[in-house]
Amino acid sequence: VDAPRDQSTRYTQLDYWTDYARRLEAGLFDGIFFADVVGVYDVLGGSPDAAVRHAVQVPVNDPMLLIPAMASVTRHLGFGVTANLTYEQPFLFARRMSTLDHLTRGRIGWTSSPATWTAPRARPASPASWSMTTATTWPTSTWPSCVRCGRAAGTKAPCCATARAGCTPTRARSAASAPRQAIQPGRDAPERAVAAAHAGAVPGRRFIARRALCGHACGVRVPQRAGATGREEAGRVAAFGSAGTGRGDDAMRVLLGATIVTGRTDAEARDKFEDYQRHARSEAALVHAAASLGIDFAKYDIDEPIPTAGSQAIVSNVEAMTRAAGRSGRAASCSSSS
Amino acid sequence: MGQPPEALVGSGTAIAQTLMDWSEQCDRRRLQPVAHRVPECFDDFIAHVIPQLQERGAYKTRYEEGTLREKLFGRARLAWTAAQ
Repeated sequence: VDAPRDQSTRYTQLDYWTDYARRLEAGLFDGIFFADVVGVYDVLGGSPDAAVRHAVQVPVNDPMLLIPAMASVTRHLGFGVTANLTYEQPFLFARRMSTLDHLTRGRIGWTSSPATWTAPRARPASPASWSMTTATTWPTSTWPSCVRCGRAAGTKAPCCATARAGCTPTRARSAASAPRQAIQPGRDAPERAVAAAHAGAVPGRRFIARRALCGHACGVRVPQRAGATGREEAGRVAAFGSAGTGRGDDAMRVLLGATIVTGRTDAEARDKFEDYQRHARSEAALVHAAASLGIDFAKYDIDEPIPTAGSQAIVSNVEAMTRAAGRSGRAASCSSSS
Repeated sequence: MGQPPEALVGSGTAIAQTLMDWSEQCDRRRLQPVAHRVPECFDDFIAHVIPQLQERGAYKTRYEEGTLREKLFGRARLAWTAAQ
């Protein structure tokens, strides 16, 4: 269904993305985050049909390729991007991130996220080991202090040399022979191991507790209705960043997602919201919720409690729904939230 | 196209007040407006909400220099990150 005034159908045009970046920077936004999806959501009903029918995060670009263009028309806007653990190779991914770190002058961040939908299941051994490999590869090149670029003596030919003091050819060759060193762009990147956010799934909580700079607070989308829920969830996510890890209280920022519809007046905003709702489809929302929560809602009756124990997906959302619905324990009634 | 979960609907003044209430609840948060109608949703947020937040001293009026980490934390390196 086409939404009025929505321009996202222009997603394959580069000027759509550069214009997007300029608008956000005009609003002094710190960053834009690309929640990437590789594959098609197929948890709801065990089929990708509904996702395709409603175009739920399909089709999408490779967001990493948009970033240099968007960075070139901005100066301050940051870029966060999902790295899908199922498909990315950590060394090559680290090279691309390090390159983006240079090209954006330190404005890049990444979210590690395993695929939670069903096909295909070629997962790495563990998200944490994948992420750690990347996190240690990105900043630890021995090349940076070796590379010096300038003009060759006596000529105007540009050259990059590794002849800085203390950097012998032997040492450079030694570094190059180690795969995780050789693939790096080879100079000090501005950020190095940049702001890593995590989508808040249970297997990631331990990892983000130790490493992440930001956490997406998935469970705080209903703070108005749920009273103290927003505060509790945000506090819990923030506490991951300090409890038992030796990190200080200031170790982490919580990114609080909010869908905002506004206008000059309350009435104008309400009219706009009603207009938007005419273009929304509940099944499309369920496709997204089923994939991110790892729950096939098609299996449950409308008022049937849904257990979350054992789920590998983003249970914080389900827990928030449970609290919002006034229930306790591990059962959630999603009929009140969809 | 999915239905937005629990959308905040209101004038710039009303939204700004709600966001400031949230901010009081947890000072380590950063707001992440979710894209729904692009670019309209951001144009509206920038036109109606940000000026209200700025008037209340709750939103920057210009960028500081620095990397993304500096933007988020106010400093370039954080002591606890082993691999820095």
